[in-house]
Amino acid sequence: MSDVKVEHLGKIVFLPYASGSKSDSLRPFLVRPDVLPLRLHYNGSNPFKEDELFKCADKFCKVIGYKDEKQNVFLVSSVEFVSDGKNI
Amino acid sequence: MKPLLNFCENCGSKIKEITNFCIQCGNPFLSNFDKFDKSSSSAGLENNDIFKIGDFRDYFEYLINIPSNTEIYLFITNTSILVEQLGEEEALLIRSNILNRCGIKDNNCYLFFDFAKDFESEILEWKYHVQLLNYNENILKDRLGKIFSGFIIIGDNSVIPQAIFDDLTDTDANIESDSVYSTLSLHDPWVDQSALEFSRQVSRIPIGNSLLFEDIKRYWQNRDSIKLEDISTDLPFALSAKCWEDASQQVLNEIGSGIVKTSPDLDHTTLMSVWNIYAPWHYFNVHGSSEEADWYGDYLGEYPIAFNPSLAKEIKVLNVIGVEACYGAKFIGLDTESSILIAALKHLTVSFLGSSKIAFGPSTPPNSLADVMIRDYLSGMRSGLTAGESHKLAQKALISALNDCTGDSSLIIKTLLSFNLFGDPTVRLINSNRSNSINLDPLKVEIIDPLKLVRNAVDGSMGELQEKLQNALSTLYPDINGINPIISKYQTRYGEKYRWHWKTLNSGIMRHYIALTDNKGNISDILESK
Repeated sequence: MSDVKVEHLGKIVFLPYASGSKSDSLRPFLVRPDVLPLRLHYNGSNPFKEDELFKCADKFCKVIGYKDEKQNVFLVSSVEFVSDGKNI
Repeated sequence: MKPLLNFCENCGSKIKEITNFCIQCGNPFLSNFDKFDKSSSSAGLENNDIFKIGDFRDYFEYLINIPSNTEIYLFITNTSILVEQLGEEEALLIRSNILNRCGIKDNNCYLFFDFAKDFESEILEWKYHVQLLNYNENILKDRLGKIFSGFIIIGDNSVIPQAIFDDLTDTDANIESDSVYSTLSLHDPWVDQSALEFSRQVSRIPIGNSLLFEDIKRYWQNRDSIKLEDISTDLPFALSAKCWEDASQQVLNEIGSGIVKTSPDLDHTTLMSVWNIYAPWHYFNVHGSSEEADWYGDYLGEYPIAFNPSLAKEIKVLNVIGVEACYGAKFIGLDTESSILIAALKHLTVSFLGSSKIAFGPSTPPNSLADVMIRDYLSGMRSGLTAGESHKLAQKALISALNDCTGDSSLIIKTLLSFNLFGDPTVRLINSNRSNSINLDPLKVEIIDPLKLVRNAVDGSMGELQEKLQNALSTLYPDINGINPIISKYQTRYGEKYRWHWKTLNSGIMRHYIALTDNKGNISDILESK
């Protein structure tokens, strides 16, 4: 896991994850132009509910945290709305 | 071997470079490990003592004298890496603890092999470890005509690396697996069946950053205190996500009857009111995740925490845990707070089987995949087999399904690779005579499927759907023309889903195409092997 806290801007959307498996669920992703969606997890929250990120569903946000390269998930320590997607 | 002290014990000169002798006085260096081995050997070699003096390659010739029906198990570790991880004192204690367990016991011969002698502290990939074990096994085969019955890995992933395979189900980036130490194959299990011949039992005690010498010492004390005649015959305890209740009940019926408890009906705060903490067998079919330590229930959008690491310490008797959860046996870089596996092994759990990655299984019977893995492991142990034998039994059942084409082959292979065994593979909790005399709960639960007629009707219309799909996909993937897919059905919270899996073989290359659909044939996802 990277030690450096980074921030990303994008739109948070809930997408199907691990279809057909025991983890089949909707999970939050950060969608940005020209890059693959980045799966998000808010540190300490229930990964099957993601209450903190659910509040931000379909909104443009700034997420701050660490990328867990091994699990390919961005571990969010804080999230805030940005007014719109113009600067993304 | 490198000297482990910084000064020559003869003249006191500082050791500045790695040599086998002191450049000041010529005194040969013995590592502390060699000295330990020497002092042990000078104590008199009688009976088992010969097996306790160090690396088994030093006394290969003595093995010829062991009884022919003896099973040979090999403790494997890398003490140089343990020294780097834990310090010299702790590593020496662990090594001495392993050596003290070497010798002939209960018809098994336990030997020790230290990768440090060949690899020192270099962290090499798993293939080098497999090659070296193969080399040693070939010598054993030449001299004794037998292979190792099993390997007991002492150390975490940085001490003895797990193999890392691609995940052709595309649900994880890769799969970490100890299976290569069972097959001793360097081939890719996705394309070569020989990499799925699980001939040796393999289990890991993940000592390292989270489990220390005191923990392994306590583990062996627990393991040695098992009195087969005293183990409780209490029924297995089973906790399932409610959405998988029927499949879990079917598993429990096979393990030893009783009624599955479910979550969200129960969560980690209410579980204690019904949990039999005196049962030696614990079965979990719940959700897990790579990010958090807890296991979760599931029904109609409710996902409460059903089980957490601190609950693993509530079990009051020596026990066995089998878990179907995704990431149910994750341990790399984790501790007692972040891994239920680590918490359980630190407490009274003597054997644990679970997945390193996302797992698969149905919501309703018939059981398949993770259900079969955990069902056969727990029922094997309940019938008096060892943990390693029970794990092999489960692997065999899944290999049969693979050979009979009775399931999705990529999901079966992922299940075989991702479920790893922890603890001592030679541990058993009950002997077979006694297991036969256990009176099972007369209350057998019959699983009634109220939707059977509907399901049969849907099954009946599969031919039509298949034609529709095949037509839609064959322009993209002409390979699948004329090939019948394997169809599996899953219950998800969005309703029933179908997985259509075509396997094609062209010029010796196997390709997999997977389509996920609803029961009307609407495609939600298409996967193909890379």
